[in-house]
Amino acid sequence: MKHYLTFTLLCLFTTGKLFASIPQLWFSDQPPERSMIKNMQMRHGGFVHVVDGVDVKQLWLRQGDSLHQSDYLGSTTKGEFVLMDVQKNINAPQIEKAKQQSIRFPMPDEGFYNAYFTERLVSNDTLAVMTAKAEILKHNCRNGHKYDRNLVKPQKWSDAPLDIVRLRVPKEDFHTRIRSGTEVKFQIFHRGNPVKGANVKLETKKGWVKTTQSDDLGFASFQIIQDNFFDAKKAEKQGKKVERGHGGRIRIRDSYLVTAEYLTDETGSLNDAPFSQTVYRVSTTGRYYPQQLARKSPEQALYFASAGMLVMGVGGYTYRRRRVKPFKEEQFDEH
Amino acid sequence: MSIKSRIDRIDLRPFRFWFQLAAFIFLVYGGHLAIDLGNSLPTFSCGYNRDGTAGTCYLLPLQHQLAQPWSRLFSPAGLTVLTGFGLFILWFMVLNKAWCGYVCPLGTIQDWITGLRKRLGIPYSNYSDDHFNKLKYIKYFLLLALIFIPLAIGGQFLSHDWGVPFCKICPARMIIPAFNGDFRQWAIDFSNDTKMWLTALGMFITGLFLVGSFIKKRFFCFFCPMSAFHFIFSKLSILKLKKDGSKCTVCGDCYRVCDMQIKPIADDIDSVDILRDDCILCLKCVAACPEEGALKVDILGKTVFEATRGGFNKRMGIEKNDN
Repeated sequence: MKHYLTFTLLCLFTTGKLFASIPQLWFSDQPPERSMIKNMQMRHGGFVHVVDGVDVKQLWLRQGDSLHQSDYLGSTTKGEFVLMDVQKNINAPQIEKAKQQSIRFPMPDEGFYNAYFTERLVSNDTLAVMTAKAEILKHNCRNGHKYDRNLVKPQKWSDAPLDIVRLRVPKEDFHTRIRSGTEVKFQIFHRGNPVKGANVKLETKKGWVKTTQSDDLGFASFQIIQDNFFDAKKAEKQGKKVERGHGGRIRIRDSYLVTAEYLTDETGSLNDAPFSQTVYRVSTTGRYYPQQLARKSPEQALYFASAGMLVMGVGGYTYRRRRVKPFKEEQFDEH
Repeated sequence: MSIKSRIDRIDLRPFRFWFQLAAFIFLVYGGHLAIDLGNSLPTFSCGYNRDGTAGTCYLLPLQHQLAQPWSRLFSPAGLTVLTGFGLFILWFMVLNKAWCGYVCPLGTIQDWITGLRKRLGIPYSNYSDDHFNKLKYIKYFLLLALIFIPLAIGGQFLSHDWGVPFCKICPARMIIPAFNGDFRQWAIDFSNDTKMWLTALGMFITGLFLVGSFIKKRFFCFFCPMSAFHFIFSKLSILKLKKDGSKCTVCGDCYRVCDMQIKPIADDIDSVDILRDDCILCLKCVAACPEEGALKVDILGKTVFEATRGGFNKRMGIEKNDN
């Protein structure tokens, strides 16, 4: 019922206003119950189960107005799940039978896996094709870092109703993090072809929103905001919750949700319900981190290096001087 | 003249210079040619050199692996630590401490700085015997620290901010990537207090390294925990430095040419296996020894290079055509 309500709302607004009013659909690897994490392990691509030595990813579907306000979708949600593995093979992932809708799939190979969930609804003469997409990295440092760089390249699913692909930043590898100030570029595809004029919105968990339209080649870019100045020590002193990861390390990061939407005049019928236009929507999430340079100082590093050089220079000189034995003439009285 | 005689008469200095240069280029830039010797190398081929490195210094993955939660470290998953260690031993067995004298990029840089000092005509410095005997234990302290700090992280006694503590203070992290134009490590990390102090100490030690190497030959090797690690397993190596005390006249030539100031190389006439913990197996001592067979290098018990009168004379320019 929730989706029909969603779609009714969708039809009430023009596409330009849709972002402000309709709940979005996306994948999350955060389990609905925190206790589940205890049985999972943290990898570069987030939490995984380890089954017979193979990383197994579990993703849950979430829907809401924003990352901050969202719910897990129930297992009755109807739709189609698709998984594209590192070799671009298309598979159907295992659907978990639980209260919340989720999928599981093994990730035996290093690289990026892409998961899609698509649901179709017709109401008020309009077909809404809503897709949630997740791009998941599988990388374990134990496997080394001399991997095929082609594995880092983004992949698109040519049959996706609407696909949003995050293009890579220069020299991106499995360890690269998107940081504040980075220009993140996306490309929007409709059944494998770049889409011009799609509305694209990026929203951070803290509520910063930016919208744009894709250009002739389907590109849309955003510069990630610096909105995570975070003094963990101060926050802890104030009794605020500080996110801590593996080994108690303080985690300073934030998430973004990016959604692309595209309206066409495609007509037809779905389950005997006719429609005279089609709205495609795809959402995906990502993480970003504080700008590294904001926390690093090359200038002060040079001060310390200079201090080291000075100490060694003066110390070495003094040491040498102290070890020089003054010339002392010995005279023997042979008489 | 047999091949063995030719080797004994080799001019070691240019041979070592070109060998070190080739090893340096191979390890520091080889990664650009997709060369990968893994991450268990017993030498300072710095992992922070990213794409350039043709293999990674074992101390980086060792610290990383030891920082795993104890529940994982002391489970079958911890076998990966043993695998890495086994590979380290296999690499080490081939060259023993010659990894330091012939392959280590940081050692090679120190030799180049020494070369610069010589060209400038500045005399080198040495430690007094008393200071030598006290300072030599620093490398063992660093070795213990780089093992126990990661273990304490895994046991949740220390935070992950202490991760890879030795790499944080090792000058190789700053200097070797710089040869690929990467100066990102030349920075103080203000993410938290621990990282700030460790990276500040790292920069300070880099300053000490640059000047120290200029006034003292192989300044950093004296404090290097990898050198201490090598020495623990040196008996396993197939390459050995041996001495025949009965042929030694204790002339002291070997001590005078030793970059590491190892006195027992001259004084000890009882030990056959003369390798000491500070030795970098540069083999300068063998080349400088005038006594036939007093010092020699064995591989699997077979002598491949030894001190000979003819070799000594040739290297000293005493007999140019000694046959």
